[in-house]
Amino acid sequence: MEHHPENEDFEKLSRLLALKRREAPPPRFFDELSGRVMRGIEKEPAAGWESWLDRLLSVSWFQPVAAGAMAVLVGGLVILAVTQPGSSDPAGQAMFPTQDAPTASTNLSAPSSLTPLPLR
Amino acid sequence: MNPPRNTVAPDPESSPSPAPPSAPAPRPDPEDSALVQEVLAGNASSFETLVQRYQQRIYGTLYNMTANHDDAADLTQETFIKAFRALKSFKGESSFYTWVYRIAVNRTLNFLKQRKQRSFMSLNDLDGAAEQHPDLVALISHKTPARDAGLSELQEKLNAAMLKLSEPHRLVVTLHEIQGLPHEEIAEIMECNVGTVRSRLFYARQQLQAWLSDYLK
Repeated sequence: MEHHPENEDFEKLSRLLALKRREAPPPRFFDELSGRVMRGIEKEPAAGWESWLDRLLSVSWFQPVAAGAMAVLVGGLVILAVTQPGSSDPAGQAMFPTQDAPTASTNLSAPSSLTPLPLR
Repeated sequence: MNPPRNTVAPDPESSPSPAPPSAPAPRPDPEDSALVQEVLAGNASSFETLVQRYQQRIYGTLYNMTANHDDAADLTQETFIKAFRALKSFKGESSFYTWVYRIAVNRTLNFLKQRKQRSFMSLNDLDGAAEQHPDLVALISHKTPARDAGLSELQEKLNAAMLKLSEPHRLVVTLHEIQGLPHEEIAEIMECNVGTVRSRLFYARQQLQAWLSDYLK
């Protein structure tokens, strides 16, 4: 066998490291490990949304569909934002009345603490 | 082609060590690729065969990376579960066992980053044949501190030295010196070139040699 000086330098170290090959886990550990793995595989698919999502994402047709749906959603939000230019002013707020804040049309006679807007 | 099945890795520079009692006897098994195809076709039990085939090597690597039996056991289990889930993405470009090793190594490196300071050892017992192993008899029969230390103390010193190495260096030492993998296969697992493996191995050996010099005189 060819003798490399580099290997010779580390020969004793290699012998010492051989001790690590003799470290053995508790008896029967390997007899039981594969069973534990298989039980883990059977148990975990129903464990959470992550595995459900993983499986969904792994379906080849899902990715273009998901991308399309996301594009439609983003596009819809942009269109909504563009077509509602007054959504941030007080007049715009009146378009979406809430139960807690009665509108002028339903409670015209009630005294109001709000300062009326100047008429233009 | 499937890799050798023995748990105790062949020593690249000396005669092979005897396998421990838990190692399965070699038998004409189906190729990994055939088993993978069976699993993908819905036969999950074929995956158990793959687990049994590689569990000792994967566990051995992770044990030597973590120096902790419980961590290694959990990581081995997680590795195989993750491999099962990801099996559809296995394209067969590398061998199944290189692929699983890669999953195990990546998972373990992440785990070690998180563990950082909590690195305590929980070492396995040495098997009964350790004291008769010719290399170790030769080593501790010389007039060195190792002779007085006894095997368990030597084992602790050795593991402590291993833990002082950086993870990539420890991994290279584990895969080559303990698991007996060739440089080329280690490069494939670590996704680096062979030159990097060689230089890491050389540096790691130098470091270990310095730290363990009392035991190597």
